[in-house]
Amino acid sequence: MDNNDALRDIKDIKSMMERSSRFKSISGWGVALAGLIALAAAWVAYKIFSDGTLFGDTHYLWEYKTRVAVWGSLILVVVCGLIVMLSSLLLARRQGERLQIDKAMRRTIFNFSVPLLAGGILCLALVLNGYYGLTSSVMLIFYGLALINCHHSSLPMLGTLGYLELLLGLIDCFVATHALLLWAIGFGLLHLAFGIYLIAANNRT
Amino acid sequence: MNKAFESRTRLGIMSVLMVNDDADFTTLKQLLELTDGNLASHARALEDQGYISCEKRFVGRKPNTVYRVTPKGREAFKEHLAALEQFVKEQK
Repeated sequence: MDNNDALRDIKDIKSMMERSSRFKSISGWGVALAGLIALAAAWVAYKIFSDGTLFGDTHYLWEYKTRVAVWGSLILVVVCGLIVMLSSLLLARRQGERLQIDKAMRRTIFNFSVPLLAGGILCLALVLNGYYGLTSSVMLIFYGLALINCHHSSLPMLGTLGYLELLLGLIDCFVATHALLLWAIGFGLLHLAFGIYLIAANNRT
Repeated sequence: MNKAFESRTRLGIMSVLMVNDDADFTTLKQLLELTDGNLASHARALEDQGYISCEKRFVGRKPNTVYRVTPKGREAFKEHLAALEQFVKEQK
């Protein structure tokens, strides 16, 4: 055995360990599209609230407008989640990854879903009880925790994204006036950036 | 260096089992791109050394073989990996 053999063996071991334990087929296009949808939604919400070009600007509509915005954003999160999941499944199938589609993927989806569902239910409870103020931070915080919880069996970058979302959510708890802006950064800009990063990374390999 | 891990196939089997609690025959076969006979004979060799354990069971009516790494195998593989790294370091 010479040096090259040993190096090749080490490389093989590492890549086989990675491939068999991580679900890495996350579609950059899906993530970027979700980011764009979130940005568009944030812009619409901004129009509704700030300059009154949609729905008018009469004060008694405030409660109604908030309800529309919060329910809208909850539905949007579900739609975006479905877009990312479906596009990732297609990508995984196209890449023909094997074990990934099996165990690592199931583990990733499970670890991601538990905190997210808990957060979703908490959000629902908040909205049903009329506490709209904290919904955006709850969404960001639990989404961040979900990403952190699943990044060990998926892309390591998901962890970074998760910590950023968590940070934004925590800031959002205290800066009540900029909920929409922070939501747009967390769900819009970060996803757009992450999606573009994934597309670039996938093209390189 | 451990002679048992010199074949690339055995190296692959051990790598997968080190990071997964278990893996079944079909998964290993597809992941390592092996034929049935090839995987079976290499897995048997590792089993004879006591490095992996093999459990045969049925899923419905289909036989399904599940492999796990044994504590002895885990230790041996770690030593092998360390020896490889040491070797590379010394050559530099």
